[in-house]
Amino acid sequence: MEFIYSTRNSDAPVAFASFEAMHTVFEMVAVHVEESQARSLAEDIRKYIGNAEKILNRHDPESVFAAINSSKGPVQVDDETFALLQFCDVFRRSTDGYFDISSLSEKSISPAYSLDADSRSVTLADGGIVLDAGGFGKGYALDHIRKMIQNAGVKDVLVNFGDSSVTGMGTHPFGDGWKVASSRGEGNFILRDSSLSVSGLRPDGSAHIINPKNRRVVSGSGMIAVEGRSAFVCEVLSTALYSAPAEMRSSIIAEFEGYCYKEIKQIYG
Amino acid sequence: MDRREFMRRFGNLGVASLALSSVPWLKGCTSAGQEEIRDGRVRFGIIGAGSRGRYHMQNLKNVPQAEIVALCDNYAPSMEAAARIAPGARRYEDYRSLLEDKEVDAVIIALPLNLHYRVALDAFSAGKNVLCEKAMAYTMEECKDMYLRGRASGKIFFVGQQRLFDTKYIKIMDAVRSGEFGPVVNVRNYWYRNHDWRREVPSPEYERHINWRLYREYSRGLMTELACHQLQNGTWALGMLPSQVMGTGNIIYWKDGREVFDSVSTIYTFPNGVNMTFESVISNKHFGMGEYIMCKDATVDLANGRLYMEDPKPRSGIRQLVGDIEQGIFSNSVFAGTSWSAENASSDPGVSIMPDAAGDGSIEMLQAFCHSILTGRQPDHVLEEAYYGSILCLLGDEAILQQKTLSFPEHLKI
Repeated sequence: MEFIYSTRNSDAPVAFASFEAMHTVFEMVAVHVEESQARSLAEDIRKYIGNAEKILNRHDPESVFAAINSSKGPVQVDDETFALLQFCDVFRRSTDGYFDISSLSEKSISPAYSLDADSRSVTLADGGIVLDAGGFGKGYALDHIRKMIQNAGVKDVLVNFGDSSVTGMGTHPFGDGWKVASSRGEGNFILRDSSLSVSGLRPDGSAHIINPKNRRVVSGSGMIAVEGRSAFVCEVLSTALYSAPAEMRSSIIAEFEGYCYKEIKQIYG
Repeated sequence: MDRREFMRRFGNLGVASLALSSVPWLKGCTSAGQEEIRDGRVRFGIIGAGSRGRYHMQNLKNVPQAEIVALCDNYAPSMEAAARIAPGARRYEDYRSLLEDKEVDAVIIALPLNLHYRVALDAFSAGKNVLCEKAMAYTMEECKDMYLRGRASGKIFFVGQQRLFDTKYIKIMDAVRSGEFGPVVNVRNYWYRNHDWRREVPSPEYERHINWRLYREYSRGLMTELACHQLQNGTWALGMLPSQVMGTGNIIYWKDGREVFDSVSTIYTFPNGVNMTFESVISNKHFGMGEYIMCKDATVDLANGRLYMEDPKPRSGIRQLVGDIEQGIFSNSVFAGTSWSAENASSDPGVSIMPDAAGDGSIEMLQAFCHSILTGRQPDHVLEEAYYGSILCLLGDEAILQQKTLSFPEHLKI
């Protein structure tokens, strides 16, 4: 982990931490915090993300998602995973199916899994179903991280997970929020206890989001940025809205009070 | 590690900052070395006044001790072009006549590859100091014999591996060899062009004379004309010779009567298992020329002088944010975008570690050559480094021709 602590500005001591996680980079800038506390918080966050990956990383054969994906029948899961799968199913229905964690599956079956509350188990609808956390994992983790930061009593923090999921807490020491701009487009945001999620083509221009409705890779040239309280919901919505036809986006986001989206033209070069 | 840190750790550039024990041939280009020969004079004869020969002539004009007194070429347009650079030089059509010229101290051999061996041996016999273009000779056995006879002659013998004199490469290689970036795990060289590699021919009878690179009688093609620039990267970075080489080559696009491959791929394997590749295709130039030393913790881009660390570094927007807070500025942090994924090829632009020094080592090589002639001291290792560079090119071409994995021949080790 890279950790920097600077007291160069005595009015705003600042800590910076960065490490690799979930196949990308996690970064945190925290102000008005003691060095030891910032370091300890960053270490705790790293441990938490490591644990979250043990649930979500389907490429890890030991993970919960991998166990579900390889199952032939009901799989008992822990409470957190069960609740998470419940959320994902609710989001699937409330986005008219444009958010679907089974979009990488061989066949289009919806719903792709069923949940049994009594046995706390999940059953896949068919062989070949693949549940994937790529469309929400970072946002989901960020929501938990926000609580960790709050519990630690740290107020003014900007956390960035892979550039596509960002949460701003409190304010910049010399502003009234955290100004965040898109690196490949004309999007400007001020995060005030809110999160931002961006979906679109990868920075190298390659497409990677699958439209759950037609199983095709979405190759639109724009990005969708969603801002709101929960990073988890922002990521769900940016993924869904990117796949959804432009004319449906307003009606989908209307289901989510307190969330707004912006279409950003994506620039390469 | 950024450029500032790189410079802090490895010092400023320039010959004076180098540990000359590891690159003894550079002593001649230091200011002390140049002072040692300040009043000296070396009279050059240029054998082969084509484009490469004239390139050396232009560089010799920047070496105070050098004087071009003789030219040799049997192709009139080249001779005329060379004479415009050195108008007072005596002109010869036959190199043997130039070698008889008592006023010539040293020769630069810039001829088709197949002639290097014979002309160099004749030059040694005539008592001339020799700087021969790379690759050294047409066969590995010729290289070995040329090496032995050159050393036995007591004359100064350089091969035109100018990169050995390029302080930029040397400095970066020093950092690699110090282990700063972790162990070397791969060396990747490539040279892509989209050009037929032909030169204009005034009439058909000059075809083989001018386009000698395309014909097996004269040249080993891409392996001796391009690979020879790059294959020393691996031996330099790893400090050892490859133990084996395999490769394949074909004429895939320029089917115009040429005899040498227009596409080659080779893999050199070192005793520790590390591979070095050289690839060249001359019908697609998308990737251009590249030379990468891949270490466990970083990739060194030799061609562009950039360093790419393996650990992803924070995005510039976040970095800027920390700096802005330090300065009390409420800034716009520009970083949000679609997911950056470690599984993609890195889009990290890296940091520049290339010093501002200009040139490719060619002038320094000529300075060192003059220094050696005037002091009568052949620098340690410089010929050996060049020798092995040539052997590797030729061994690669042999592996392609024989379609076999070839071991480095023991009898060619010196």
